[in-house]
Amino acid sequence: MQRFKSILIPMQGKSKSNLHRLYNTQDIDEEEKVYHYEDLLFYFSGTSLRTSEKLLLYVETPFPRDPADGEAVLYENFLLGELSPVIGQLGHEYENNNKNVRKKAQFAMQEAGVRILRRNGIRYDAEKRVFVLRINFDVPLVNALSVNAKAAVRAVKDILRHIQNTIRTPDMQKLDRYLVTFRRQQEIRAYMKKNHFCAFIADGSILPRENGTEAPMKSAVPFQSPEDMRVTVSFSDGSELSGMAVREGVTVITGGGYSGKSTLLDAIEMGIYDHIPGDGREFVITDDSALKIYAEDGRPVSELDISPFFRFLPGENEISCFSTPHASGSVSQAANIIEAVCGGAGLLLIDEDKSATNFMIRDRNMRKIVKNEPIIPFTDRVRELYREKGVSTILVIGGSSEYLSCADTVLLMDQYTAKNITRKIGELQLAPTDNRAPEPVAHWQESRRVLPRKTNQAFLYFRSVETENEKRIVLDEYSADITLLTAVASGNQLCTLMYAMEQLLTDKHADSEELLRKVTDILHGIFDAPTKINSLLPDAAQRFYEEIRPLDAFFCTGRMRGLHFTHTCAQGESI
Amino acid sequence: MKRLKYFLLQMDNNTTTYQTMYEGEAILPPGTIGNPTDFAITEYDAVYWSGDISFEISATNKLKKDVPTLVVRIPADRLKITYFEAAAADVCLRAFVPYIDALNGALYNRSRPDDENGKYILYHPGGEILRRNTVFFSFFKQKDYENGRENVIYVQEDRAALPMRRCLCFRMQVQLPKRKIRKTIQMLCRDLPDAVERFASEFDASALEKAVKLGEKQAAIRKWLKDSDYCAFLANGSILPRSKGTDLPMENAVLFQSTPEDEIEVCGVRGMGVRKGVTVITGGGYSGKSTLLDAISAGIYDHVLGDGRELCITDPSAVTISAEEGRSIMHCNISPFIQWLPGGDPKDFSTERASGSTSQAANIMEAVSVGARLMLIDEDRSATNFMIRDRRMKKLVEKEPIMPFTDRVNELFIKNGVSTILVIGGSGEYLSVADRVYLMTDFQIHDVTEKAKEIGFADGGVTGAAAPAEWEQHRILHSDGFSSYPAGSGSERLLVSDMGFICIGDEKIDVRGLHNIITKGQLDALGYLLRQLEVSNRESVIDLKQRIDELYEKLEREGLDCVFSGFFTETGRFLDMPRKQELFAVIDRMRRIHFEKE
Repeated sequence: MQRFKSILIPMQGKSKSNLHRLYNTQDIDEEEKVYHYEDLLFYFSGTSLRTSEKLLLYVETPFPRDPADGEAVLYENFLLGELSPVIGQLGHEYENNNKNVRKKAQFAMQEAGVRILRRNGIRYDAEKRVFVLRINFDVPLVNALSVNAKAAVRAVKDILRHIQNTIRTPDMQKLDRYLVTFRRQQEIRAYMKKNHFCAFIADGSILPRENGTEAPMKSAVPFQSPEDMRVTVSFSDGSELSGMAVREGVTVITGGGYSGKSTLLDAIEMGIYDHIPGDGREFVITDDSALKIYAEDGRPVSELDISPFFRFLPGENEISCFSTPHASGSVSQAANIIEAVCGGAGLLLIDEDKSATNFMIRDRNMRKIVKNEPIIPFTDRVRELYREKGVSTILVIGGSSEYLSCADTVLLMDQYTAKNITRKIGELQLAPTDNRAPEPVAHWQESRRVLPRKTNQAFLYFRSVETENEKRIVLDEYSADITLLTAVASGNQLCTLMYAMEQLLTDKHADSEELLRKVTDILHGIFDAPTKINSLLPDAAQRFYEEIRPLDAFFCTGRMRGLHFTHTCAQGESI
Repeated sequence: MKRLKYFLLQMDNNTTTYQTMYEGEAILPPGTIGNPTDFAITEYDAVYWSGDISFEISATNKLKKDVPTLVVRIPADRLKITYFEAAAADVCLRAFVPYIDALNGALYNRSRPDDENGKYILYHPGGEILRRNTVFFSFFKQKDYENGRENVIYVQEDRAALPMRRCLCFRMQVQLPKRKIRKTIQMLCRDLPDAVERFASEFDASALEKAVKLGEKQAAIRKWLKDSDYCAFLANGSILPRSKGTDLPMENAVLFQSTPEDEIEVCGVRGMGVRKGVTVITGGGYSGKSTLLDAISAGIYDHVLGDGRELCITDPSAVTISAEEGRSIMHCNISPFIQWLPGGDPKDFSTERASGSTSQAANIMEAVSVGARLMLIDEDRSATNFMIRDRRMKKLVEKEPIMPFTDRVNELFIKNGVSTILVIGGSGEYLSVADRVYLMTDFQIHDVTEKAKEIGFADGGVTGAAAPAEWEQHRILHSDGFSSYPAGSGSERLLVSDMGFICIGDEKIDVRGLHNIITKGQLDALGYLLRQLEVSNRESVIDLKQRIDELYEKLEREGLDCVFSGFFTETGRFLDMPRKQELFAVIDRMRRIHFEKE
């Protein structure tokens, strides 16, 4: 702290461009600028030349307990969850106490959400056995130019004191609770994989959310599994948990309006992430490669093989390499499914309400009337998907009985409780039977590579737009509407996606590898080498990132307007 | 023009305000006819003359002083125009467009932005004929003075006696080149008057006759449609498909040919009449179903000769219905479709974010309440669980709050006289409830009613006739929240974005789901109409229907431009007349207003 003071205090009243001395060493033999405060180590790094007052404050803090293998992510989430309200509160106090705007120090820490994910706001350094926190710290300025060093020192000291206090007396019971839950979640995932289940919903889970928030709804009906679908998972710590397990294959959820069908599907969708205890969905676990599929009128489709769902299309369009700037409802949904399968999704979640009807169904009567039909409805492919590609499907169906005959399991939601009615359907012969010849097995696209950008000019103009009803990523001539990429739930995840897209689009060798592998590499880069954020996006260095699945990034490229793909591009081929 | 040139010459080359141009100061020297006093009188008149053609210059808004709005008035008798309908004005605008395009072509320089380069901005209409503020007929004074030197004018003797002349008026904008006053003079005082002069001398009034004849025919068909039991008419030989990405007819398209059963002759035109009642259009993917529905929906408005759909006429109150997930609903009676709701009364239903099915139910209910006589529904844009619920599902799921549209579509016609045209691709449920079923194969329409009925009823048809429903809306609008002033702000806010949002006051209205708004001009006009309604309101309880009727009467009298206000900087200048249905629909989508149960 003394050293820190001795560097900063002389800057009082000097230009903000001197601030780089906080982190840059000038002489070759000058020792590294790492400062101490009680148990903590802290150091700074700059963001950009123009905004030299905006610094990143890294705090290395030891923790009484060392996380076991694979559990660092939980500790990170727990610590962030403990610290960020404290620092946030402190930040508010600073805003209120200082009436004079010019002298205000501003700082922010990444917020921990309800999902257990890796974030760049905190990182466990296994070698040093410390947690590294990252805080955005704006040095207070006078007249937007000269440094107010005293206020800066005070603010840093305050932050460190609060961190120290929190770390010294951590809520170990809470941590244990987190740990137990987390371990169980991992065990459930392993159990599911072993027994070929694609989703698990524990009894007593609270599925509905409070209107417009992510908090669990009060006075909600806890989930109760139907008896014939109940499984009991025994954990290694001796306890047991029972709940509904959805077997791989085709599952239909049906029921009246407002009976909780879509709520159940939404909860299953979010089950791809682990949730913290108290969320209500902590034991709703889904195959982590699940993807929700929508009809997306107007999305672009580029160079995609849509032959599994279309026999022909008018015009010169080649269906095995189909492109359109504005796809119709049915084409867009087909493209979404094909891309999902290509990206390795193991479970598709489909809500009839958000689907194109003529893609989903074609009933007996319509088949009789309309003979020459280019669309192969999803009913004819859903079983094949599971048989051939191992992709399961969970559908929410309200109006049409067409899917009852292709489902392995049918669930009926009645007043927020689920019933298994598979047998009843067989008995009542409710499922329509027809003796059509099955469709020939389709060819599913397996490989996708991005055609790299032809110029090597840097992007000039970046934007992500998030409004009430739409989310978009705009990168120069590329733009993607990701409103319906619902797995990317938080703003921090959107930042990650932006960054990944920028890296992908500026990569001159983007076609050197499979697209999915490429995005996986990029995403790993963000969290494994946390100090190197090599981006031209405004404020890129100050952004907080939150882990997303490579699958989502892959899915995002599919709807990127302006991006082109190649099916088979030999390595080293010059473009 | 002499005065305008004088003003511009006097200006500083770097001017950004062009103030004297907007003021149009004119000096009447002492002792002349208009001014018997012995000191000079100053008049302000921003109307500049080139021969008998006048150019009125006014500011577009306070931030765009370099983009003045010009009203060009050409005496109608000079053009030998004898028709003064909207259709005639529309033809004149279309004839004027190439002249301005030629001017712009000569100006255009891709290495410079428009504000350095200068640009003439004239509205380019699509295929539809609408009442516009960009072209209209009105009476205007004649030039009553002679120019002296500088901005001195000598008024003619019979100033008061000069009669008003009927003029053809174009409203356009000119982007003046920044810091190039010479070029500005060239653009405003020479090129533009020359182009207008050329337009006036080359104008062929006989083209007008054809358009007016077509307009009369369209009006006759519309009138016939009103009294007959048909709700739409499509002439044989119409070109329905559009060329990719544009509003132009597709080349080498299959011409429309009516089915033999429904071919009728109206006002000398043979074509297909779509009867009132429930009509289903079905067919495979890419067989032209949606194209047909789009043509029917376009038939709400008249189209120009050569559009391909000029003799496709539809009941003008028709409304395109789709599911609009996320729209807000305020105290709407949706009980015909939703029987019960958890924690809500379907007779008085409000939500911030409606689901697909409730939003579609609300859209239909609101359309019925504003007097729509025809609904156009595309299955692809609808919520499936609102549209259908087949027999087996009905048996399987007994507790179902949503009454599917199949069970109400006939009641809607019998009880309310509202017809429905549906495009159906995947589900056979509508076959048994439809009065008519058409099949599209390879862009040809066929009547398959008989066969469809046979197949539809082989299954037993749609079961379970629903109990008659109550269709009326019982709600009144309160004035709090119905304001163009954001809360606590002293200045109004109105912003119309291309993306399909109208922001007014604190409100952000998403109108992307309103498919019958076809031009940006209509969207801008809706913004201004809404603002006019809000500003002129003095009462705490608003009778919306009456107020909108009054507003439209006013538009009828004073022209569409009377609602425009230069106060708002982020709205367009060119307005197209929207329908009342759309204005109601926009208000229905507001989130911060208060409807209350009667």
